[in-house]
Formats: sequence, structure tokens, C-alpha cells
Amino acid sequence: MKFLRGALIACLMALCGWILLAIFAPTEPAAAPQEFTSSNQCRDCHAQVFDEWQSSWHAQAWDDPDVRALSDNFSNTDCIDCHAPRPVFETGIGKRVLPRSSRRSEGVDCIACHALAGGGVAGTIQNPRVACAPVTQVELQRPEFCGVCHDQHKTVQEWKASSYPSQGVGCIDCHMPYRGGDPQAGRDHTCRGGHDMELVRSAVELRARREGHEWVIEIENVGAGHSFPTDERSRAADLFWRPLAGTASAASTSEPWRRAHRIRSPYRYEVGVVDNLLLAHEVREIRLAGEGAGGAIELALFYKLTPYYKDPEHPDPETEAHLIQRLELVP
Amino acid sequence: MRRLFLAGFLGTAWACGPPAEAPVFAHFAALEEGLGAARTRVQAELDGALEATAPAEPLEPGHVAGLVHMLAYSTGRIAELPLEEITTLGDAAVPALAELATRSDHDSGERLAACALLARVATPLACEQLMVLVERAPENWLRSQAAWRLAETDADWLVPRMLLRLKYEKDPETVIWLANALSSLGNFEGLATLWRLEREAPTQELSVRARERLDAIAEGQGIESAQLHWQLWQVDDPEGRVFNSSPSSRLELELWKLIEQLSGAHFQLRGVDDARFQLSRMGAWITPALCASLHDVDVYVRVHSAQCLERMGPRASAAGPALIEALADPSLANQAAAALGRVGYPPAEPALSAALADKAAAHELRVAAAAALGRLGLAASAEVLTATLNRSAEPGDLRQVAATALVRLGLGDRGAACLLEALEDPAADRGAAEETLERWLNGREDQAAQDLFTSWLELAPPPGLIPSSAQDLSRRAARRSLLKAAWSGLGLK
Repeated sequence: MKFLRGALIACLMALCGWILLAIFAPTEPAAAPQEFTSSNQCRDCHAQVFDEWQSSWHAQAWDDPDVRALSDNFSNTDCIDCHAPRPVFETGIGKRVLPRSSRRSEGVDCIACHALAGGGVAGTIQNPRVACAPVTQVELQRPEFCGVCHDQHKTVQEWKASSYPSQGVGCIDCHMPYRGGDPQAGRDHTCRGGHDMELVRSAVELRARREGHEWVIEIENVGAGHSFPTDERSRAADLFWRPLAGTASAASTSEPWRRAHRIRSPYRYEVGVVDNLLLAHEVREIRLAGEGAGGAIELALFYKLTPYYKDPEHPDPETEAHLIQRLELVP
Repeated sequence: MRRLFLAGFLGTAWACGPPAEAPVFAHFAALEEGLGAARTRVQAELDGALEATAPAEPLEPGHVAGLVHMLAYSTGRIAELPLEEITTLGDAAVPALAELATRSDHDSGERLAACALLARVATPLACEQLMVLVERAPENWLRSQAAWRLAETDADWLVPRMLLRLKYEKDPETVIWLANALSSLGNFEGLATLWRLEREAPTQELSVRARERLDAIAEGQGIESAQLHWQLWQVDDPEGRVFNSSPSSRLELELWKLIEQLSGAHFQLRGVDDARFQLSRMGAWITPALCASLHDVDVYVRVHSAQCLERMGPRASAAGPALIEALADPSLANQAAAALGRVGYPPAEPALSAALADKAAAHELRVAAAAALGRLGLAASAEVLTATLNRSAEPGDLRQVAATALVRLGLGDRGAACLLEALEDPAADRGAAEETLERWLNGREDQAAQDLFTSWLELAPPPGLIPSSAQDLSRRAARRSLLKAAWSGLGLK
């Protein structure tokens, strides 16, 4: 009997212990937020956005042959930070991104912009009922968000120095517009930029007038919310001219182009190259006179994704660059 | 009864007890402490030097110019007089010498003489002026002259700036003398530049001169050949054959200033790029400072310090234990794993294998650990890498990295099928798969693989041509077909 009583008390004690444990022991952590390890996980629910992103230069940031060549196959590891970044929210807005180790071939992927620090997904609309349960983050729309990479070459600072902030015009207004102009349709994730010649053409205006024996040419940054070109020292814009074919001043129908002006920001090792990017709203005047410029001329502004011509002495912009604006000037 | 009560209580207490503690990787103000200590040491030296130096008397106008003229246009004993006298003037002569050296309208002979006198003064201020000439003088001959003169000084604290200048310098003559000056200050990073110059110099004469300088530097260090000298510099030089003097307090301060440049306080990556470049080329002696920085409170200092160790490669092997500890820091773990692979620290194998095998570990860490195991190339990793590769539930990129690592281990046949599929899979790293398959084929010695390798290379783009994305895709498709057709001939299923 004594033994049974003891056993009963022991059981009671154990039960009390179990109850105490249930009450005071640390509760099971809440289910960990889903870990996103690839942008492909986003595809099923966000097919349109995914397809847009996949056709974007963000998606090709790692694989693009030009990038591979310029970074020496990323043996220049400095490039990895922005070409395969860890989530922006992990390091914080206004701070530099850090490089990731995994799935670098996805480049600047969905996770880089939408993964929150510690799990969860950032979006424009909060919706706990869908699989990724996005949380509204207005920071996604701020230029400083894009700036974590794109301000490495001071693009956001160029924008801040312009009148666009006071007009309430930010990066996404031009580079991620609403699809079809309809806010209900959401924003275009192709993120058009310096590779989109239609957009590049809308950035600048080329004008010219005659003053005495000179052509006075004006290039105006009318549409870029930042310098033209911007962001990459590998970009360049060249103003070329030649006597107009079929006129008295043209020696032949295929006169070589002559450079009148170059707009560029130099690499660090380039001595003697002036940083002369065309600032937002800037109007630059170039005067053209001398042999061949007295008569009718053809004037063209070319845009180049890489700065150098194969033959610097005899550049061939028509095959190596993109035509942005062209004028025929007759005195 | 009491015993039963005690047993019940203890049972409860055991059940409620804290779980086994995970290793903690401490964060502290490593940068602040290192920078502060280095500053204090330099200040103490400056205070000591100040007490030992008599105040300089003001110079008469034209005095320094006279010495410069005398050196430029005299010979023999008379030419030695200004060299002797300038040392008695010390820093007082430096502003005038710097001004004469930089005046573009001035006689070039006297400008060269001013450089020689700056090197003879050799105070920190004079060395600084020589360095400014190397960095900013527009004339190639003046930059190369100033670089040459820096070799006569003991200004090792200029090494980081000289390394950076060497990166961007385009004048071959200046490159040669910068590499020479670095060597005289115990840093042999310029040897790589001299190798390149020897291969790619625009003229035969320059190529020969680069080679002569390489040989002279090796001979000066008592090393049998320039090749061996470079190898010793790249690894940790266990026998201490490469001269590596203990750094001056000023150089230690420069080291901590560079680590400070890694911090989150600086937004522009350009400064971080430069600091990472300089730090990873300063030599094995900086390893302890970078190991301390792995603990800094600033995540950027931690991550970038690990990147510097990674870029230092085998010469940072002393960082192995610190990097293993850093695997416990979630913000640093993947970078620490990558560094362990590059540094080549075999004792890290169990920790890296455990990280890879742990399915609950962060994906980033597992991928970095798999890649690092490949770089270590130890047979002990084969099992965990093969298991990862064969588990279809694992993320595709992790399996691809495991396959790549197996190729590095000489077990490419195991990973080849995965890499073959990755070659045309839009979700995979197709470029990396192509690169690895090429390495695998090249490494196989059987005739079938060698024949296939020849056909594989025939599909490569011509040298110097950057293919388009479409050309990349079609080349990979062709190579995949080639491989598939030869698959069974390679003994693969």
C-alpha cells in the first residue's frame, strides 16, 4: 500500500512537471517563413511578372556575354556584389548590397528585391491569404531602393540634383511603368533602361542652327531623370558629322564620319578623359566650323554600350553603335 | 518518498533545461580597437621623433633651388655635396623640392635632381611627395623616376598606394620601377605585373628589361629563380625564404585604414573595390588583422574581410581556424566557407561537409560549402558531395555545384550527367556547366574523351570575339548533342 501511494505521488509529480513544462517551456517557434531559394519558385503564381523579369537585363546580369567579357568571367569579383546580390532588405535601403554564393546565374532576381530580412516577401499589396503572404513595403518604390546598386555610379545622386524629385517622378515611373498605363495592371518588370533604344532616344534632343560660318549644335537632356548616359562608365554617346551625301560639299556618297563631341565618364585608369556626362536638363552647345562643315552636313548622335571603337582612328558608328538622333543641315 | 519527489522534480527540470548551446561567434569593435591601437603607436613614434629633432631653421630663398641646380649640372665630388647637405635640411627643404619637381615649365634635368634629393631627404613628408608624383605627374618619365627613387627609401607605409597605382599605371617604364620599389619594401606583388609585361610588352626591349628586373629582384632576395620567388610569395612561405620585414607602425596604421574603408560607412563600391584589391595583395602578415576583423560589429567589415582572405588564397592559410569559427555567424558563413576553399585549409573539411549535409542550414552556406569542398579537393568529401548530387529533392543549383566539386575531386564521371542537363537548362548556370564539362573532358586521358575534347574546342568562339547570347545558346546546344552522342563511348550511363 505504501509502495502504491508512493508510486501514485511520483506519477502526480511527473504529471505536474509535464503541466509546468507545457505552461512555462518556451513555445514552439512559429512556422518559419518559407525559404525562397530560386526565382523559379515565383513563376507558378506570377507568370507574367516572371516572364517580364526573365526577358530583362536584370535576369541576364550574370550570363550576359558582354558582362562576362568585361568582368573577365567574374574573375573580377568586385562585380559580383551587384550582378548577383543578396536581398536588398537584408542589408538595408541606402546601403551597399552584398554578394550571394548561390544561383548566381539568376542575376538580379526576384529574391534580391522582394525577400525580406529573416523571411517573408515584400510587395506593394499586403495579402496574407496567398502562398508567399506579401507584406506591403513602400520602400520598393523609392529611388534609394534601386540606388543600392545603381547609385554606385551616382545615378540616384544625379536624379536628386534634377527637378524630377520635386515633380514626384522617380525611377519606376520611367523604368517600371504601369502596364498599358493602367495602375490596376501592375508594373512592368522588364525594367527597360540603357539597352532599350526607344527609351534612350526619348532621353535626348538634337538641334542645330546656323550662325555665320558655323553650325551651332545643341544636345539637350530632355527625358532622362539622370545624366545621359548614366550608371556605367562603359557607356558613351558620340556626336558625328559628315558632308551631306549628294551635295557639293560631299566628296563622295560615303564620306567617313567625323567626331564632333564625345559624352562619357572615364574608367579609373584613363588619364586625360574628362567626365562630361550630360546632366539632367542640361543643354550643351557644340560649334562646328572648318573644312567640310561650311555646306550641307549630316549630323548624328550615336549611343554606345561599350566605349571603344575597334579602330579608334576611323570609328564606324553605324556598325558599332546605335543611332539615336539624326539631322540633315542645309545652310 | 523524498527520493521520488526529487526524481520527479529533477525529471521535470531536465525536461525544461536549456538545449545544447550553439557555438557563438562574438562581435566586437575590432576595427575601432585595431585602428585606435595603430594610431596610438604612430603618435608615440611621432612624439619621440619630435623630441629628438631640433626645430628647423627657416631656409633662405633659392637655397634649395641652388642645391638642385648643383646636383643636376655637376659631376664627381661636387655632385655629392647637395646630396649631403639636403639631409641636414630635412623637411624644411621638401616643399621647395616638390614644387621644383612638378613645374612643367622647368628644366627636366633639375626636376629629376629634385626627385633624387627628395629620396635623399627620405622623411615621411619627402616620401609622400615622391608618391604624389608617381600618382599624379602627367609626364611618364617623371612618374617612372619617382617610382625608381621610392626604392631608395624605407617608406613601406606607401605600399598600399603603390599597389593601387600599379593596378592602373599604363606606362611600362613606370610599371617596372613601381614593381621594383614594392620589392625593395618587402612586397612582391609587382612580380605578376613584370611577368605580364615580359609576355605582352609592345617592344622586345621592354620585354627583356622586365625579365631582367624579375631576375634581379629574385637574386637580391637570394632566391634561385624568379619563378620560385613568385611561388613563394603566393603561398605562405613556411621557410620564410621571401624577405618580409616586420611592418612599420605607419604601415600597420595604413592597414587598419584600409579595413575601415571596407565598412558600411562608405557607400561607393569603388573605395571598397580598391581596399579589397590592396588588402589582398599586402602579404601574409596582415592575416591576423583580417581575422580580428571577422568579428567586427559592422557586417560589411566582417564580410569584406573574409573576401580579402579568400582573395589572398594560400598565403592566408593561418586564417583557417578563424574562418571555421566564422561558419557559426549566419551573416558571414557563406563567405567564410568560400574563403576556406580558396585558402586551401584541409582541416576545414569536416566542418564544410557537415554544413553541406545539414539540410536545415542556410542554402547560401550549403552552396558555398559544396564549392569550397571542391576547391579543397579531398577524397573525404566525395561521399557527401555524391549524396547531395544524387538527392533529387535538393535545389538544382546546389546539385550543380556538387557536380562541379566532384569534377575538381577527379570524380567528374559522377557529376557529368547533371552538368550535361544543366548545359541547356534555363534555370541552371549554363556557363558554369560548360566551363566545368570542358575541364572534365580535358582532364580525362582516354582517347574517346580526347577526341571529343577536340571536337568540343572546335565549337569555341574565335579568340577575341564576344559571342551573343544566341550564339552562346546554340554553341551549348551543339556541345550537348556532341556529348550525348559520345556518352556511352565515354563509359557513362
